[in-house]
Amino acid sequence: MKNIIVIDDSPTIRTSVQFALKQLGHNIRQAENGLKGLEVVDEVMDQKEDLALCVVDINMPEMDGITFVKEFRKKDKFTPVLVLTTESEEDKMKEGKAAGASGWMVKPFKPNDLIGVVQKLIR
Amino acid sequence: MSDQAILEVFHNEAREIIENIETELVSLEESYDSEKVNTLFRYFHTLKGSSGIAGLMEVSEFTHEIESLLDRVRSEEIQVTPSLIDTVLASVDLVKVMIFDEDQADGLSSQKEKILTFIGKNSNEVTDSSRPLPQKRKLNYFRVKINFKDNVFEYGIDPLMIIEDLVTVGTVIEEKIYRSRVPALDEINPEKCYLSWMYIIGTKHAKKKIDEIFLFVFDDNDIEITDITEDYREDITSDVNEEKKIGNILVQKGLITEDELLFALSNMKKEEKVGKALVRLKLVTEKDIEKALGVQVEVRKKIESTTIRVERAKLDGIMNLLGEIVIGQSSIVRFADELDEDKAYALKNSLYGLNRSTRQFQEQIMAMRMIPVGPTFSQFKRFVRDTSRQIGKEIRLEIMGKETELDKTVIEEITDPLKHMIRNSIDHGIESTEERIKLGKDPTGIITLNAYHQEGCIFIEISDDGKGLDAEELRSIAVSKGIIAKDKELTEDESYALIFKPGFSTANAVGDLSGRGVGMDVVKSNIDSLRGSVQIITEKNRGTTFRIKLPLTLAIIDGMLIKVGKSVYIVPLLSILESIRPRKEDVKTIKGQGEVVMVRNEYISLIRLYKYFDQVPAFENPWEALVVIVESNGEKLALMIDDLIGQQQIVIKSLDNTVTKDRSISGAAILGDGNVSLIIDIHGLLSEISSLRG
Amino acid sequence: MSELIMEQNSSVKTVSNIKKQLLQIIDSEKELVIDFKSITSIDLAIAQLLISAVKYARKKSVAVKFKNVSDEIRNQLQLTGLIKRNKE
Repeated sequence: MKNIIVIDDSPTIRTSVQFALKQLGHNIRQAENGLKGLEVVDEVMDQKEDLALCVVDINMPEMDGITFVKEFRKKDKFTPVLVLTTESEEDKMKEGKAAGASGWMVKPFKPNDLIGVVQKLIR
Repeated sequence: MSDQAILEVFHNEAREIIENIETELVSLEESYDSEKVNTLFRYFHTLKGSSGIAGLMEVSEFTHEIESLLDRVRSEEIQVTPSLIDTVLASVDLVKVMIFDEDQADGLSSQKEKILTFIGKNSNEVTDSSRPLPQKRKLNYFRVKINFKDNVFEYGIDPLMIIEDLVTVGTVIEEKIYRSRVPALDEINPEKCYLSWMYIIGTKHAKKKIDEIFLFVFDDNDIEITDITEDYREDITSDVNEEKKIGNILVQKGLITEDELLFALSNMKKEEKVGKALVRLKLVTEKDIEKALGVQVEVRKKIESTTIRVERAKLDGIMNLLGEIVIGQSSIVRFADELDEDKAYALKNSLYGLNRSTRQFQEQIMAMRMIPVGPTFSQFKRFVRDTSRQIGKEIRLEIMGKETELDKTVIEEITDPLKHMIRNSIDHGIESTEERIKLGKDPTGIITLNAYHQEGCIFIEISDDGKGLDAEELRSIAVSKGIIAKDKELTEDESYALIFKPGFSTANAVGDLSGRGVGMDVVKSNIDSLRGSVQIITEKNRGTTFRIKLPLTLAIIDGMLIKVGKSVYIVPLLSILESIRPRKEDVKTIKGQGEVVMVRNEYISLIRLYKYFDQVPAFENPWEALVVIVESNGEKLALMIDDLIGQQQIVIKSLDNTVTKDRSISGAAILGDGNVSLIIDIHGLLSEISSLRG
Repeated sequence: MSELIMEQNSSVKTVSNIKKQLLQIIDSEKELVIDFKSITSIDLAIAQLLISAVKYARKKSVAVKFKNVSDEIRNQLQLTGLIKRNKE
């Protein structure tokens, strides 16, 4: 079973992402900020499970998405990271890409659009 | 803000949007343009959002349907048809009622239903693959060069997924996988990317679709997507009548773009071949050149086996003979006129049929002389590139109407004037880069060449997006150079035409070309000698268009046969304004202008043709003879002749230059009675006369 | 053992490991057999490693064979130029 970690401070977003990506047959784990997200990453690694993708919001308390990407890349070089952005966050998005993010998704989105983008990144 | 206030603001906005939608729809019906569909989409999108905010949910939902219909048009899933436009128009009408006349809206549910059914049906048509789309859409062709940065894996990207997506978007025409950079196992760093690709793909999708595939990697990797639809040829060897150059074959195969070919051509070393230069510049491989050489041989063979080369002189010979047949026919017609009616009727009937055949014959021979204007236009690309760089401007040449066919002789004759006009646009039309930036224009200026057929003529347009002509400025320059009198009144068009006057140049600094003494006046007289005309359309800061109008062929003209003494001459019908017999008191001699005729309060120089051509006339007094008023370039002449014989289609035989240097004669034709008759060139006659006067 | 079985999660994450195994086989055996029975697709890092292995094996005169190649992997190997596309 491959894992996808969804990191967002909004429970609504987390749930809707979980709902959409469940269809891909992966195990979805949630975290409400970057720091918690890193803990979940460690958890997956400790369990020697496969991590397929991280979906991460930019604006979060405790640790924002950009910092998460930077920290995450220290632990995991190759797993794709999809950043959730809003249209006004173009600069942030570029920062995220430079930190090692793979792609972005502009909020709000429809479940099918998200699946389409995720399928650009994982098989 | 109260609800009522919001609604009011929305009403104003909606009114404006709907007006724009209607205009855009009409224009879309005239000609398809993806940008127009985009604009329409945006209008409906705005309408949807605003109506939602204003609380008109029904409008918002309905416009959403139209928006998604247009989205499918935009992504080229469905095509623009008259019924689609009708539907969108009907939906606009419906939206108007829904917004401005809510009381009426309930009665419209059946109309709404109809529109939604149409939209629904259209979406079925797309998904139902058993039913073919009504029209087969032409494919678009793209060249995609893919070069990932070596640490691409560290961004969570698997390039292979992208390549897999790319090849499913259409048909792979050419695939190149560059593996040589992949080291052997003992030397590889397996976490780096070494492979790169080049694809040529044919697809029914627009470029947007390819862009989307590379969305996440486009900015920070070396990805090049080029639309090569215009130059790409699926089968280079089909439908050829001319040998092909290696460079052209590579362009048509989509391996290089025309700009890359130009780049190679201008970077060739001494005695280097194009192919070698292209390989050296790493634009193609040796293998590509070999394959292209193969195609070249194939084309040559094909030409040898399916075509016959005929000397142009032989074709001209047939054309001449045909002209004589036409003339023979017309003399039979004249003869038939003299017969009594019964016999003449049968004869005329069969002549009518014969006439039609000869006309078709003539058209077919003319078609043989026609070649597409494309290669001539393309050769200017390099000229524009080199010259604009020389003078430090950024200019791109765009070409339209490549397939338009012109008489080969016309193409040969027009090439030089075109070059001068393009040069003029480069020098004077397009502003300097700094000036363009200041004006908020694209720093790169664009010159467009276009050719098309209309009204039985050829039109060639040279347009620039430069500063446009300034009528006032042109006028004052002309005054300062003594070309026109200070108090002379000119219309705007007359002012623009000043640039064609000898000795006129608006250049602040003397350009390369003006240095050699070739100006727009020479261009104009070249076009005149092709029996063409130039129109100038210009708008301040938007640019200038020179529209050249040319006859389809130079081989045939409509001529008027005139009699001077014992000889018959031909005057092109296009030059003739009228013929009159002047009154005695209207013929005068004016100091400095010689003999003149007054026609409607205007003095026109009188030329006694019998004197000019050394003939013995039937009449020596203009008021006993006839006077033909002719015009060229706005200048008029009164030609004194003995008689008008009648008008005829004339096949021109060009005269050997050694026979006559006289510019007043442009050629000769054989008449029905077998006699040769000279064709008078009015433009040439005017210049001969002015040089005689000194 | 001259056979290497591509494991289920073979990807850029494990590619360095696979490289070691491949090197060992090519350096010591006369033949290399790569079995794809446990996986349905590969990523570019794996495909590239295979190209590199084939180059190295040729230098060492070691024969390389692929076993149990799925249609998807066949397509992927074609897109990286490792095997030729059948002309229709």
